[in-house]
Amino acid sequence: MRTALKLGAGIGIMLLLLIGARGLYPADPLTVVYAASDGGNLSVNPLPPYSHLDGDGFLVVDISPDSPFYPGEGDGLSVNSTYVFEGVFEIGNNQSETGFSEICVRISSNDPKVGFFVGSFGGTWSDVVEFSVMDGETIGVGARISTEGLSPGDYWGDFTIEAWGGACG
Amino acid sequence: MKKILGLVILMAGLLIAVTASSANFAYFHADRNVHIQIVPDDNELIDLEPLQPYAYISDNGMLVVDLSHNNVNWEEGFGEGVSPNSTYVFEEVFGVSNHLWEETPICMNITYSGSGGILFFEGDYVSGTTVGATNLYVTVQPGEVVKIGMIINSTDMDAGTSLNGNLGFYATAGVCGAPQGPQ
Repeated sequence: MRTALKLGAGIGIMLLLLIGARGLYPADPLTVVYAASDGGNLSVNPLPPYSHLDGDGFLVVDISPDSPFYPGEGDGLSVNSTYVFEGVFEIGNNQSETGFSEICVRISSNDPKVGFFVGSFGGTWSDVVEFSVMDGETIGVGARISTEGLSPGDYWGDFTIEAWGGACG
Repeated sequence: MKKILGLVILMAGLLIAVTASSANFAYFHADRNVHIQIVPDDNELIDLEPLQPYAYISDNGMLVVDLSHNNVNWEEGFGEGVSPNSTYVFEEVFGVSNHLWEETPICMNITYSGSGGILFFEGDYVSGTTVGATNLYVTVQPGEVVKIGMIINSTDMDAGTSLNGNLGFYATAGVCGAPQGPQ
């Protein structure tokens, strides 16, 4: 009786191991949230000094004395002005984390003051920018901020980062 | 009984270990914040600050140069303007300073458009040498203040005339005259 049970359990274990072996995927790590970046599988990194990670580890574009990079002077932006900052944050694709040799990233501004552009400023910007990030690449995103028609004060807005595997379009 | 229980737990453990790790990234979506403080001209990343009472910061935070009794600093008994057919030179009317957080020098292009008779210059006025202009390029190093003066020439103008104009400020990273900056 006991022998039969042991044999049954043994076969059970073997079967489970076989199921597991077939289901095994090559070298796929668990999703890790890195303390030094936002974004999970893809990397979303602030590029100092006009952005940083907030207390929850999320990217925030911050041009105010609340920023950890605030040097004590230069409290913010002036009224009726336009500012262009290149490389405010960057998006990286590591295929061993995303599983894709190419990912498509879309950055959308939900704030009329803020527009985005990719790389060096070439005179154009948009509310929505879409670009590919190949394996091993990081792409810098810049921001154009306009304070036209606004008075001094504290302003909060938001933007959306979306990404998916494969080419854009 | 115990042995079987142990084996079941072991089998269950193996199953979980093998199936938990393989999710591929499919879609990422995140909403993130932008926080901006809008401040008066003399507090911002590239300050424009009044250096003499002829210039002041208006209620909405903008630099104004005003040589008339409309200036907020004007008091009864003060002069109300400039006389006709005269030349006035004011040094250090306002300053441009660089408080960019990344500590890079900037080239600031200051342009004036409006009524004639108003020119600007950088630093000290040297009689016979300093030439005013309506289009200036000044390099402002991190933490430095560059002082801008005015030359007002009311030749051929009548008393009661008002001179008005606008100042434009356009800055790029790097010193003036550098290959990537304006010449």
